[in-house]
Amino acid sequence: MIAFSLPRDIPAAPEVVMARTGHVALLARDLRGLRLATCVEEGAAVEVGTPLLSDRDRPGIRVVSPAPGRVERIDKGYGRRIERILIRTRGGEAWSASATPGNDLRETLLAYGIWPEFRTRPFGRVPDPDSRPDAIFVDALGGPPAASVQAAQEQPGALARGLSALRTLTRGRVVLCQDGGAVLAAPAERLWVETEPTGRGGMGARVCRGHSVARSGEVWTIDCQPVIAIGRLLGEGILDQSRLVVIARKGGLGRLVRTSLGADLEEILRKQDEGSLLLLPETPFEARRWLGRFETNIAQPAPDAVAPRAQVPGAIVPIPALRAALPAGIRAIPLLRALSIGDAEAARRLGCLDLIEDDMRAATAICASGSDYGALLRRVLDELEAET
Amino acid sequence: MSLAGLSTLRAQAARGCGLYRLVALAPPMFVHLLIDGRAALSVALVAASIALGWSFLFAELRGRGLLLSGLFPALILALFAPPEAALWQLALALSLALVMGELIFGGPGFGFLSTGALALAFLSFSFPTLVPAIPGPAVLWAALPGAGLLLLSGLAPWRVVLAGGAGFAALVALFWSGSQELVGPALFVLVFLAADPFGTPVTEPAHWIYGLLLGGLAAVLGSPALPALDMAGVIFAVVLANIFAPLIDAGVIAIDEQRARLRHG
Repeated sequence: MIAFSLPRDIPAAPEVVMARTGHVALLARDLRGLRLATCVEEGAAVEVGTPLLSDRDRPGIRVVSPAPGRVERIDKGYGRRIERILIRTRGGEAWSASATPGNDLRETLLAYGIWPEFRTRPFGRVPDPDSRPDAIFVDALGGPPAASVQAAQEQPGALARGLSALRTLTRGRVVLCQDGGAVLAAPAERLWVETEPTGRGGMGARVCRGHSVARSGEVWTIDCQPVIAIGRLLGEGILDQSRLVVIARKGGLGRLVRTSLGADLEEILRKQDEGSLLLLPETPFEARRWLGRFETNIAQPAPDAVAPRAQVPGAIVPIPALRAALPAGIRAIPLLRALSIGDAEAARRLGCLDLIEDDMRAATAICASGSDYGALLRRVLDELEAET
Repeated sequence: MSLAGLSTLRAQAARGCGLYRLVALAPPMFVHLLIDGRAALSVALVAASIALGWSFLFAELRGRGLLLSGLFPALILALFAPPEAALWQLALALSLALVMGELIFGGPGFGFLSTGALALAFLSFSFPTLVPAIPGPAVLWAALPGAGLLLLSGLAPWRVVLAGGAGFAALVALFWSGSQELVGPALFVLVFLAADPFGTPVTEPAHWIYGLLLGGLAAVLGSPALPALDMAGVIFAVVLANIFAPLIDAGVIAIDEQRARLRHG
């Protein structure tokens, strides 16, 4: 996964550039918990909203094409498992489609391929279509420069409609999480807006504080931009999977680019003549080339992230910065120790069920041991999920 | 220093752990060498070569890179070495501490004791006539910037230093008569030996408990010889408190769990 660090004090430049790339690709690594089956053949023509993939066990869960074009390649890995679906896009058309939302929000989200934007906690999977979470947390973190916040400021009406609609999916509340800044949506019944910055731990901290699932229960998280897409789908009848992303430049203003899910980052960056310094050197090229479903900040890696990963993990130096990299309610060093020796039971007791891989990036960057805590956490979560 | 610089310093403290701690010890070591001259130099050279030798040997055996962290306990030993100690005695104590205290566990950071304190403890246990010397006031003053670095970067937990200082001062003032001369050595021991990142507990409430325990033990074991501090007792207190650190952590985590269970049913 790409290491993204958005410099907090640098505001993004306000002008938005449109970038439509020659290829888009959807990656299976963003669709955890699904056993994918293809709905199209190689070479088939697709429009925005054409189903590309679905889940074998729950065929209702679909992944749709974010752009019009032709399916160029379906890459399969071990056991003929689908890894990536590559689409050569067609220019000269709008990258959105008209939609007629039905009465049932679940059916609508499943049919238009927005369902995989939800992730469960614990385990970080695409949720089951029949389940009802205890709460839904909407990610608008990062403060005013973040892409989600900028997108929300562009379309406040759609965000409000989307948030309001999400309430029908949960028996609890919908929480819009912000890091300070102006309130993006008006609070309402079962719709909370939390603007107080927690300063550490990202969405993991919000879940940990707002509705911890470390012992029982399930909550869902979703980024702010898909919620805007839900609002537009319900209000205007438009299916639009475009994404606003921030491309941070070295020592300068970040730039906003509106592009599509799965966009070819290499093409976007090459056009801007910044590609060489922006992509992490040691991640496999293909893994960092396409804009992932949950990525909105593209920046040159923090210097720490470039440090070579050790073959044999070193010692964990227990410093306060490492403690601050994880949510406040979690005993960070004991948890990191449990993860590094793969002690799933201890990790569960220390609250690892509130976390997913993305929450471990800061700890991985700071820790001197050279362990990839995201991968270690995933291993432990898989083990715990298999037990239940 | 700007706030951003400080947060960078803190974020990089884990990677720079060995280097930061050596830098922190460099000024007092320099002053110590200036004052004590050739005797101190030979002690420092022997200690450093022993530390590097063991680190190198274990690095070869385990196929890992050479780790400079072993130099920290070597310098601590050189600073506290009693003048009458023979070089072979120091070498033996340091070897035991390095090998038994950290290298057999997998290297610096995998053990559970402060290696510098352990070396001094081995010295005073094995040769009861040798009592670790208290560094002179000039050396202690020179250690001030290094102590600041360790505290600011978070390598020495400030809660441990604060609680340890408070516990020690309270007990000494209550049962014996405290004097200002105790402040320097006590702080030096607290920051450089007791607040060792690998010998202390890792949870925040445990830092307070550990600090109080340590301060209390140091006062009880080190004060009978007042007005001078009995360093052998103080070092023993540090090692004893180190041994309890994992237990305190486990207790804190167990209490956390109990509270969570009460809250969630």
